Amino acid sequence: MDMLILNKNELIDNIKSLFKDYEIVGPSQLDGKLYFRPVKSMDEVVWDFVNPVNNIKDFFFPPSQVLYELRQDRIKAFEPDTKKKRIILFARSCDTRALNLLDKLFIGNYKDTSYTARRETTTIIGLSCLEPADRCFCISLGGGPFATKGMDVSISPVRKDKFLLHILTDKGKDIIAEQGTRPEREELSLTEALKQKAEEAIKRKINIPSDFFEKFDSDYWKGVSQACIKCGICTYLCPACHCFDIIDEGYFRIRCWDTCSSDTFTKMAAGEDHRKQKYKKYRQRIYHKFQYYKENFGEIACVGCGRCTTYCPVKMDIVEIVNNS
Amino acid sequence: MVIKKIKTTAKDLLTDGSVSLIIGYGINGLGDVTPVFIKDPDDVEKLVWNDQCYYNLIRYLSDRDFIEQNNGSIGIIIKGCDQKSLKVLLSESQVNRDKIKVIGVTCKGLMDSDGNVLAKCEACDVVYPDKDFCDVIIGEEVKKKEKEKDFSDIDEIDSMDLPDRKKFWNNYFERCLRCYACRNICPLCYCKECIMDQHNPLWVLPSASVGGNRLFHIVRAYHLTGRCVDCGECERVCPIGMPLRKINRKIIKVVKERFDFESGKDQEQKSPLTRYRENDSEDFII
Repeated sequence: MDMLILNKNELIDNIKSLFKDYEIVGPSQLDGKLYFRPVKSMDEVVWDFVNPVNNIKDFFFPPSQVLYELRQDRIKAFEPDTKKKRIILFARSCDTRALNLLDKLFIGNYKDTSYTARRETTTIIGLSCLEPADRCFCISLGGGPFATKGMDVSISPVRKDKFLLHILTDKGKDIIAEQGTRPEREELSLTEALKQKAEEAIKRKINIPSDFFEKFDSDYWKGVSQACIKCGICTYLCPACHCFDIIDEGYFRIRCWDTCSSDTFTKMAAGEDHRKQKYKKYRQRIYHKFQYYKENFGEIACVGCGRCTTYCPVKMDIVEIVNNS
Repeated sequence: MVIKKIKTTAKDLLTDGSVSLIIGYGINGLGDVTPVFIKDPDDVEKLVWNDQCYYNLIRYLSDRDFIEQNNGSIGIIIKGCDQKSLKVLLSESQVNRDKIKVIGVTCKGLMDSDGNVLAKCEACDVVYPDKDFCDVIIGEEVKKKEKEKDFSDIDEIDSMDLPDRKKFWNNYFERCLRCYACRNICPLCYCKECIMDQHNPLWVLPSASVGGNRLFHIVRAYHLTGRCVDCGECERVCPIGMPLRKINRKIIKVVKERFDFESGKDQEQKSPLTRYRENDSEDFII
């Protein structure tokens, strides 16, 4: 693992040089909100933020993608456009950790071709979190504001205009130019101090009860799910949620995001639906994340980013709901 | 103090059996206001009242499953804007007025997280809910101001030529996730099976494509013609910041001009598109 120090101008110059060969996705403002989206220059990129509305899963598992076109005499498969390599800039550790969680499903027993292709051609530059928000609870799920899991390069602040870079993978090596200086001990301890400060700022803790599985039949879920309006915001903005539907629109077979809260999610042929009641739908989301994914893939499918609570139309608080179960 | 009166009113209604459930505003683990559902009189301590009480709680009264599960009487806390949507629901026979207790509260305006008054509140003409409509009324009486509705932002879009208007709206339709939060938070979107959820036959492309998104929003606005009261909840909940109120207010403007009708003022009056009158104007097609 290589470490080097760059000052802000050197870092900006390095990233600027990448615009030629890579499509750059970074946090930028649109209509007063912050999103990860393709940017044309460093001027569009925001440095000081908590986390954009969307997360980086959009670029590997898009909201809707055409799989193939079916005509009477032929089938045309749609390959993802991976000719141009991509860099995702300033992703937070919660979002990059979530991508590793999704890898277990999408590049597991069966390799999802488009997801895998996008993963292979994308390099992720992460940015450590200096000022976590009230909603954040990554630490209690094994993450942290300065964690680097899932990043190819991580950028941590030393001071206002100085950064410590960790080059974590070969893909990361390819994009960082040979410049900068080796970190001095003093610089490393400055970063360490900022890391401690950020970790201490995260007060929210999620605490999954050890007998969580036994609570499935409790009436508790009826009570806590009352406010839910069954939209898809928590699932669509969650970096770890990944359920999808396959639909036919005219000649096209399309994969698109689906949400367990919708009325059509569990509907089967002949109209059978074993999750008609709202509390069953809400319970499903909680158990999929905190029980089933762990059983199937060894890890809880939540990274503590807090988007679900922040953008929920009725502010349902997942931490409060799980902790009180 | 308003909150004290809200709590005692709620407690009294629950203890004397007038209602078996109170729907009001409470606080979640992060300190944000959230809808709260109270059955135990002692739980009225959970109720709050402040300038972040955004939710139009009437939405829960048009939820058939919710009403079925709570087959007793329901006490509900409303602001003036929420009251309008309740009147529309009553005009459409969707709520049994005898089975609810309406607790109206004066609202001086809601604030966003930056401390700015919400746009819909600046244009508010129902600060104080109707005394003769609510069962209980809390807060200072504020004389109703007949405000001329300001449609200047709608006129601005109408004055754009079509390519610019298309660009303005496509900026949002391209990014719409079809989360349906706008539809699901709306108290007047209560169809048992929404046209968007029907796949057989398929009416609107279900995936989040520009064309499908555009059609969804147009269809929803049309299904609210003469009904939408501009409570603003749809725009508040949209994660991509689509100016949904502009779509609905355009139609509100047209309905006012063509039918001289405003929804939510009188629960005896049905929306112009749901009733026929012999003297309806015949110089246009809507």
